[in-house]
Amino acid sequence: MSRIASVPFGGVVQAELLYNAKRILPYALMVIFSGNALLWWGWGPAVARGWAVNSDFYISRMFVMFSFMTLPLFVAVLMGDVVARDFEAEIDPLIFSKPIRRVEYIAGKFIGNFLVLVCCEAAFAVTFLALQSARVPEMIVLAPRVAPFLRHFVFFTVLSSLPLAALCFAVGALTRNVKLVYGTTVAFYCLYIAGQIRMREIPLHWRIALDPLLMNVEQLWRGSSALALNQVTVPYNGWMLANRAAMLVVAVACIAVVNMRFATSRPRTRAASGLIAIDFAWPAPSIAPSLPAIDPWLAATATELRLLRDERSFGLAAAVTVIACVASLAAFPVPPSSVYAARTVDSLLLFLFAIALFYTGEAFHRDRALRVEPLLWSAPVSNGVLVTAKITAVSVVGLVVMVLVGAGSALVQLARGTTHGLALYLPIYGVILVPSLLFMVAASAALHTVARQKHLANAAGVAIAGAFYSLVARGVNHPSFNFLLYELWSPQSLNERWLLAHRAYTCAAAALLAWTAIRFMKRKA
Amino acid sequence: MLHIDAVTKTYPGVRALDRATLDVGPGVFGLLGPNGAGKSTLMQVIATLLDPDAGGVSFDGVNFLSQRLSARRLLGYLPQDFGFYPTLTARQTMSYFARLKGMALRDERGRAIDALLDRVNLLDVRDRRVGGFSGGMRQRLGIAQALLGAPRLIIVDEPTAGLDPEERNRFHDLLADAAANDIVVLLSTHIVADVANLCSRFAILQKGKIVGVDTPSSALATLRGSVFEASISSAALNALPPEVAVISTRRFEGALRVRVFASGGPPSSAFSVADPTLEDYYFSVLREDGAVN
Repeated sequence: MSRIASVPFGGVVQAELLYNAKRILPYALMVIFSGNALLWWGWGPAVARGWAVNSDFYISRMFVMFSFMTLPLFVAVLMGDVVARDFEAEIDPLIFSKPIRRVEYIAGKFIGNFLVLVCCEAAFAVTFLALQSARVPEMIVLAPRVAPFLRHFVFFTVLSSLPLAALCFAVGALTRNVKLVYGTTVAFYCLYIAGQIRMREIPLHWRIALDPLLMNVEQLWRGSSALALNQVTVPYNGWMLANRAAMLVVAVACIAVVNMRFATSRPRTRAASGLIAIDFAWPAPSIAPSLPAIDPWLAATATELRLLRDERSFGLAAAVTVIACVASLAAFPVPPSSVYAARTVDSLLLFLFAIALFYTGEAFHRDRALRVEPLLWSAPVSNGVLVTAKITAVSVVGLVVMVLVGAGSALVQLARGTTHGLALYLPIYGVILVPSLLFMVAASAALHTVARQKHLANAAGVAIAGAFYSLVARGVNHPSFNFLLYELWSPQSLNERWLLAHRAYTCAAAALLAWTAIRFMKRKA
Repeated sequence: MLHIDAVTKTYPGVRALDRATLDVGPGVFGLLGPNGAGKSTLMQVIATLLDPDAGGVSFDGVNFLSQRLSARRLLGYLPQDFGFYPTLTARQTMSYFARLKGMALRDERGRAIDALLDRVNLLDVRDRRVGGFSGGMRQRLGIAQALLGAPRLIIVDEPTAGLDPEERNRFHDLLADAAANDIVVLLSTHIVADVANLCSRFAILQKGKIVGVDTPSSALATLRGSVFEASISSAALNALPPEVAVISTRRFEGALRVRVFASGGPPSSAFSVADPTLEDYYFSVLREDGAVN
């Protein structure tokens, strides 16, 4: 190890491992993944369907599902800022002034962080492995085994996350913009799901070969009884091996592109013109101490909006959201009696969640990253002004995206010659989406102020959303905790009184969360 | 008048401030000290960004620990380490901070911003994004934002770092102008020349304690006739008697140039009387306190 670490490549890998060992994020991911394993072990589909929880089939299935449901966003969280953080911390001149080759830096960064990612993922596998000694009533457990866990973990999880990690690393390294990485993973989900729907008609072996997450492997045993599935040994056939080989090629290609295109330089700065001697009269503008807080709040909100608008990722995120939401209507048949506005709500909620979580995180952590905090914090404005300005700005961004999706959906509807439910966009978006957006932004603000670490808050947000989705998918759904009303409303319920009461309840929860963010904002050096 | 009363702040394993007590009136007041002496910690406490473990800070009757919002209305703060939003222009940045300071009237705000940008020589580039500014330009913008809203108390922490000599002079003029308007300016620095040029009074901070408060002229008077200078060998330097305090040693044209403080006359015939400088005073105070080896 010391010999490897003595060369620059080894040094970079070692530095990345040490850096991650001192961060909370990897440990938080391990806890989340272990919790996920525990949930799927005891309360997953195995018990209900009579599958043995440590059968070869179930182990491989769990690793595939784990890759699909949790990995892409977590991969982005861990791999997105690997290079950008060196530039943010301004360590880049210290690194690149050393005799290190670009390929050593790139490969060291990628491999170091990918190892950390694999360690985090291994928490899922190890928890699953350890739980063989435990059981809940009616659970079938076969004789304890180790090899299938190791084999399937590498084949289904590690090799699935490798190209995605390389893609996130490439986007992050080349753009040095973490939000573009998040946008890429959200787009990956959309493209992946759309691709899977499109590929339904092609032969199964092609579907397996073209599926980066190997979700279609399960189809090989479609219709088999639980008894048969418990005896199955999952083979790695030629199509699956070709798929994994292709994933390796994709990963290597991404790293090769980074190596070719990566620039160590920063944007050039231009010096000011020469000094000019000008007589100066000391400006003494009046300050009315009793000025209402509205003007600082307006200034803060306008600045936050301007900063969000200037984000390179915002245009992409808005475009992906609009295209994905509208394409889901345009590409697939929608019955004429269907309310188009209602059909966009679920997909829009997913994107609004991503916008609320990641852009609120950006708004809350930008001041620290850019070292503006001491200037802002010494200004005579309350925490309420600074926090509510950020919440308002992100909410406005969400509203803009909502309007764009609504307009696109309405155009699709008109192009198809149906005006049914055209008047329902405003009430549906206004009653269902707007309070949900406010709630998500306020919740994200509270999360980011309490956690104080961007990636930790992002990981926690994704975990909470995943747990919520998992509960709803299992049929556990109630308005008391479902502030988004996901799968709890229909266009008909717009006229019902309980719906308005629930939205007021959601807004009150949002206000409480905003207050929490204000309360927990520590204005301290 | 700024009152700093027995302010104490301890970080794990380090006492950053140890019952620091100061009274600072209008004018430029210098806070000198080596790196790690506690200057920035004291600045952050006064700027309401750090809670002390004990002690208090007040200015013109406003308690800076319990009346933070009122305190911030009086403040202009330039931290040692700060940044700006790179996508905003200089004017947008200034406008934002001005409105946070309560400057609601648009025309008045615009005039004040233009005057300040003019003063720091950034008027020509006011519509350029701050992300494209050089280090010196950012520093000047930082100074300009600290002067927004006619603050009564200006705190500047190592402000001339990164400025070229001409910009540094310009900055000195700015602070001197500000102080002429009956404003308290607290200047933290480890550059003794900045204090000598600007400050009517100064304090020396060492290991979190105030180890000396004086005016530059009386500080120099205490050393007059007691500072000697000579070019000597390293062996001769080591042979100096213990009662002779070496203030500084530096290489000049290949020889070792030594300045010493000796109240009983020159240590040897090689030494001649030298005009004391504030740097001599600074080193002699630190040496008395055991900071300089």
